[in-house]
Amino acid sequence: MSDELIIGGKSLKSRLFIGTGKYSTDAIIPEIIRKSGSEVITVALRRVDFNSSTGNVMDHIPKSMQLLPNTSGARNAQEAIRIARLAKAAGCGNWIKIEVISDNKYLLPDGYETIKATEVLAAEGFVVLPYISPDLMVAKNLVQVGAAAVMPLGAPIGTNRGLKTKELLKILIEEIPLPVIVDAGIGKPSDACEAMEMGAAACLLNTAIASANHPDVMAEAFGLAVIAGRKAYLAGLGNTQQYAAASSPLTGFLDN
Amino acid sequence: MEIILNGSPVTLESGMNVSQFLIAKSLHPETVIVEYNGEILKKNKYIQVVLQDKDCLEIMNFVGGG
Amino acid sequence: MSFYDEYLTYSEAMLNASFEDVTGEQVLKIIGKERLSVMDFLALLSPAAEEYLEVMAQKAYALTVQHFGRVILLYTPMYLSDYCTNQCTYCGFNLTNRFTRKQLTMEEVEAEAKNIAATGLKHILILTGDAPKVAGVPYIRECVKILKKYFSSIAIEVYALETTEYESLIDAGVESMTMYQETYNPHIYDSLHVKGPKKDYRYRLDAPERACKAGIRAVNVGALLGLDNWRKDAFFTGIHANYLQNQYSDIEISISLPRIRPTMGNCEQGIRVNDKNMVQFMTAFRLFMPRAGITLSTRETAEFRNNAIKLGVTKMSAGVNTAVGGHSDNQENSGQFAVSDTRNVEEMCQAISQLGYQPICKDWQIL
Repeated sequence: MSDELIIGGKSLKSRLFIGTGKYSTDAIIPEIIRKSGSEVITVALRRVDFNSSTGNVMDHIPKSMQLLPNTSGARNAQEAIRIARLAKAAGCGNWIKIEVISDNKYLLPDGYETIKATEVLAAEGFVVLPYISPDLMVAKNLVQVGAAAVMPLGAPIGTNRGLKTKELLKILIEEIPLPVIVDAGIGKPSDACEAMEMGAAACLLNTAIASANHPDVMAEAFGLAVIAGRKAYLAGLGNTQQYAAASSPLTGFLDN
Repeated sequence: MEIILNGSPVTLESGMNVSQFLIAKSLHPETVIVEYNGEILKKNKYIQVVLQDKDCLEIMNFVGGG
Repeated sequence: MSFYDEYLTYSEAMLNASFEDVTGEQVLKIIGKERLSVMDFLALLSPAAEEYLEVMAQKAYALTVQHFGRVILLYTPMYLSDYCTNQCTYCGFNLTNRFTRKQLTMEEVEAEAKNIAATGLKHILILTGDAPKVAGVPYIRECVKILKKYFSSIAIEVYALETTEYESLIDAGVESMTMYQETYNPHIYDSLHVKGPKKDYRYRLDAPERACKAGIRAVNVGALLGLDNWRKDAFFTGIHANYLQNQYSDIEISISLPRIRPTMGNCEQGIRVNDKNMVQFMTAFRLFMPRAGITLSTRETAEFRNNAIKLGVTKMSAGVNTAVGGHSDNQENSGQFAVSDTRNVEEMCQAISQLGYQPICKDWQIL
């Protein structure tokens, strides 16, 4: 039975999205992609460094990968919109991850600016995946303005702390009629597995793989974890809570 | 003549088009994005647009990111 | 989009099959879940769940204390007018019932209000029959203006109105509406409503939603249990509340569980709904919608109401008289239904306190 994830009209078999940041060398990226099974990969947009002799990250990303450029660096909607249009001009597709961050202490996103940017870009035909704090009202607004998914954080970027926002993620998964992709904060494969068990549509992670001692092995672990979590969700988890009848009954009066 | 490239002034010979400029900088036109005087330049225009004095060029490419 | 579209997706056959097929094991699993689906709610209303009433009650009690505290909000109904153009077989105000109809004058409204306010109550529910020509929106507006002087929250339980009419009443100071569909079964509904505007099933069904669109703050829905198989009407009441909450996330939703009582001219109507059934409905609903209110009126006996306090009820009426002007004079005008629990506000407060709960007369005030 097909369980593909469909975003922006594209059908994906893998529910693990990965990043390209923080690696010791871009050259390991093809192996990370292969081991993880991922089909969606994020990149950032920056001014060309004329003094650098390193190659281009694009040289290491197979053409078959769905590119997800992000708007990192944007501090407001205008900047995010500009970066998105530039990314589209590169000719690698119309997907965009909106990341609007004016908080350099925790790297928490600005929901309001994100909604503004999403509205403009969705209207221009972008497939918009906005990165947000797990705020239900922000997510509802994003649905209204045409986002293709919502990407709430499990914990602040780079912290590897796992699903600290679990309760709120559950609410989004319950209430938002778009794929909910947990993005940021995932540290262990078991975190990714848990997110998928809860009903997340996919997980996006970068640091957890890049910061591992053996990123390629970790990539494989995450690939398997996402599959396991998804299968568990589809299988329907068993009852975890017990409610036993106490000794002082509330309904005893019915027997009189 | 002088243009502003990625925020800094550079001098170059006149008469170069964008494509030639990129190649001169060891850049492949396929892998970069060019903003010419604030507007995104379509790739098929790289050969047509000839750089003028005081032009502003922003040349960007994709890099690693999360 | 209307609740009716959702209603149509549940066929009689599907409901009956569910009631028959649910197992005890499934019931226990559902009770333990953090969030119940619509089908889970349906399962908890099935005969198989009756065996697990105590377990359901324990969880319902815990959830209610968590979300509402050990608190019961008190209110009372004020009948403004019993003129009615409908012929509903189950109601004391049925147009064919012969008695002298009464409608309060503004002076009488003020007098009633004073008497009720003196008991300490701050939440009032005003009712009329269905007679727009005499007790229409302009009349209700005038009453509301007076009542605003005495009460901090005014709710209406009147005939189905247009959106603009709800807007007009909200503008006057109404913030809550109650609408009983009586029964969600269109065929039974049709046979019970012999004549009059209330015969329009769809118009009444969509009334709560029109009120939501008009900007009402709180909505209370319910069915008169016993007109149809109570399990079905209980289910539709629950999913009607759920539908409204999902469509209008900012409104406060609650349900009532009116159980059919003897009225003038009609004592034997309907299918008997016993106390166990009431408890099952109450607790199943609490598990399905932990944050929705549950109102229990004086149709029920004092004993049952006392026991219900720990089962999920959040709002109760006190000092009730269902006759027009009943709070002022002792005239024996026929009430809409026979009151079982005749306790006044002081007695209700005492009973509630004795059970370890706090009676509240004022919950909020619109500024």
